[in-house]
Amino acid sequence: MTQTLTKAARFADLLDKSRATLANEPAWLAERRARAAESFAELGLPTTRHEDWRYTSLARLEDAELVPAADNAKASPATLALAEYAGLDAVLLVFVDGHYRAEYSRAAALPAGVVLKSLAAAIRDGSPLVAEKLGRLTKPERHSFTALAEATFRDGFLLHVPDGVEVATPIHVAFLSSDTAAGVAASARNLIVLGAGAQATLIETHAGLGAGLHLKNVVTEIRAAVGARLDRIVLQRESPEAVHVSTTHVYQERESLVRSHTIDLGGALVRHNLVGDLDGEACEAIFNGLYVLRGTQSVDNFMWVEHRKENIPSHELYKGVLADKASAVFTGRIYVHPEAQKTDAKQTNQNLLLSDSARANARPQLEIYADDVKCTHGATIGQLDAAAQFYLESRGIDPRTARNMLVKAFANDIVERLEVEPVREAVEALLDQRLAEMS
Amino acid sequence: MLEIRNLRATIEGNEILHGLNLTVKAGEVHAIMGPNGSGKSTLARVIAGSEDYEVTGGEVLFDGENILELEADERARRGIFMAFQYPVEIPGVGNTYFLRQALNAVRKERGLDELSGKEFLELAREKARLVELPEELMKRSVNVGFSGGEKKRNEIFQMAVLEPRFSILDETDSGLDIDALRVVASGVNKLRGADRAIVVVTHYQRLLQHIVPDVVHVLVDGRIVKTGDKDLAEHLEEVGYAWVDGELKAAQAAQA
Repeated sequence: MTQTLTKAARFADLLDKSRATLANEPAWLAERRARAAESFAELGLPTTRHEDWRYTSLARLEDAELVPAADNAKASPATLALAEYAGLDAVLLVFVDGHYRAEYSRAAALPAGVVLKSLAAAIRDGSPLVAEKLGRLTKPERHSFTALAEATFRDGFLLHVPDGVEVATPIHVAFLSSDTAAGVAASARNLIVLGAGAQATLIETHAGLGAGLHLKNVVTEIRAAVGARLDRIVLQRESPEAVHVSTTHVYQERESLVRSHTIDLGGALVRHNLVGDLDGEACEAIFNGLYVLRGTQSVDNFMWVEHRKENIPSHELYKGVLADKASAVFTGRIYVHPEAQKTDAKQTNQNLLLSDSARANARPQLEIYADDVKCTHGATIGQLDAAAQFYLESRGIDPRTARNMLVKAFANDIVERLEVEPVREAVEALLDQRLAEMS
Repeated sequence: MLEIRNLRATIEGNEILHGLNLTVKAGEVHAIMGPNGSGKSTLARVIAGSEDYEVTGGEVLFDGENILELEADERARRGIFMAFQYPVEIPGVGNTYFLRQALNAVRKERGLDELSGKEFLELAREKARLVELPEELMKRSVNVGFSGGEKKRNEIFQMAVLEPRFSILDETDSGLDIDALRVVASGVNKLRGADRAIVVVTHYQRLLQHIVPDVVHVLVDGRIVKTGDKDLAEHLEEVGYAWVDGELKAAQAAQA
């Protein structure tokens, strides 16, 4: 019992320290933060007794003494290099330990009316869009990490693309951890609002190099209005002891398209919550992911996709390569409302285990309340195809190269779908590097 | 070049090869014929280094070196090649990329420079013509979307590119129509050479009309029971394997 109090006290301390640094905020936000802090105190961190967290233990976080991040932590050149993709011509917003840093960021001309800026700045400027939309999709009263983010976030980004505007230049937002991030808890809130027919390409990089446990907790809301189109790539290469939790809510109106690809290579413990609220006829959601893990890394993808209207395709393909004692969890819930006839939902999770000690858990969960639907799910957990391996070796290719060729072929299924070429090439190079390091 | 002495091999505890002997000299083409289940594919796969089989006795000497102690890839780099009876489909691995990796691995072993992408493509185009392999197939994933005949041609194409010194073709004729058979056979014939040896494993005599062997062996129940020249293949075609069975039983009876 004493221990429980201590753990709760640790987070109360984090919340107190965080509150002390937040001043002069608009009343609506201050109220929300207070409510969120109460929710967090009630909810605490989820344990493995919670059905949605059955395979991912947060014990290491409970034992950590986390403090809010300083707003001026230095980012080393090596850390800043993690925000660069050779050949990528993009607008770049850089955050270090959750704070926006203009000096590391790089502006580029965006079409008139497009807003891309620090969320804290938008709040300071009294942005009516933020006041109206921020937190409309999230549920801090039910989800610990959302509550924690709401109570403690310092910054994040706002992207608003007005009706009919197509942003051709890719937008790159890099959330870096400083080399001194050990013991830091950094929360960020992002708000992406695409107007009717708006189009944008967004790259999010989460990376760091520093030693020591730290928490990065990111809550993102994406709204795609009628006919909007968002291409989003998330590349996660946090430092080896990082705990990374993301919660992304996607709300889609009629005929909108959101393609989201998440590549996980880093971190010690990673959890992605991805909620798709498909609320317009003939909108389309494509949520794909790839994780390539080693050591004791673990990645937990928790998806929840709701089909509310007719004629909506939603496709999820998550592929994972697990070496050593790495582990992965995939939970995919598809909820088809009675009105959502002609739903075409397809969900696939494929895991390739490269060692006997690697583990994967796949949990597809379908709830279907419409009768004219096509819903499929498939999960595989397997090893490399021995026949293919022998075929390659029988031509003179050494076992390790043969294995890497097969692993890359498996992963390429996702990599080749990354539509921003410099990012795709960077991911290919990172995969080669990762495979070269794997025994 | 290749000498097999008293080779015994098992799969899942069942002995398939019961002490097989075979000598193949440089420049020769041998045919190994035998009924289903006689151990033909086992022999080919054991030579290639498949881990599905356990070798429980004997030796396979290649230029005097016992290759049973080598891994499959090492054997291949020494110059041993097996054309698969059932070539494996490998989605996501490009045919050209794969074969260039393989060729460069083999070249490295022979002390030759690696070929650039361009040099490789030129070589590959030339060799593809040898087996009339459509160039478009080289761009696909290994054997994916290939017809049965195209898969077999791809095997001979790989053989032509890798230029192995010893090749064993495991039922390369199975599933081929007469035109494809002629193409494959003509490809193999062009690869015959004074410093190369080829062993053609087949159930039927048909292929041997196009690839004329110097020596024909009959494999029954994991042993070579008869060896002769190309006429043996024709004789076998006329009288069937029952004749060999009879001979084998007679031989066993005589031994006992």
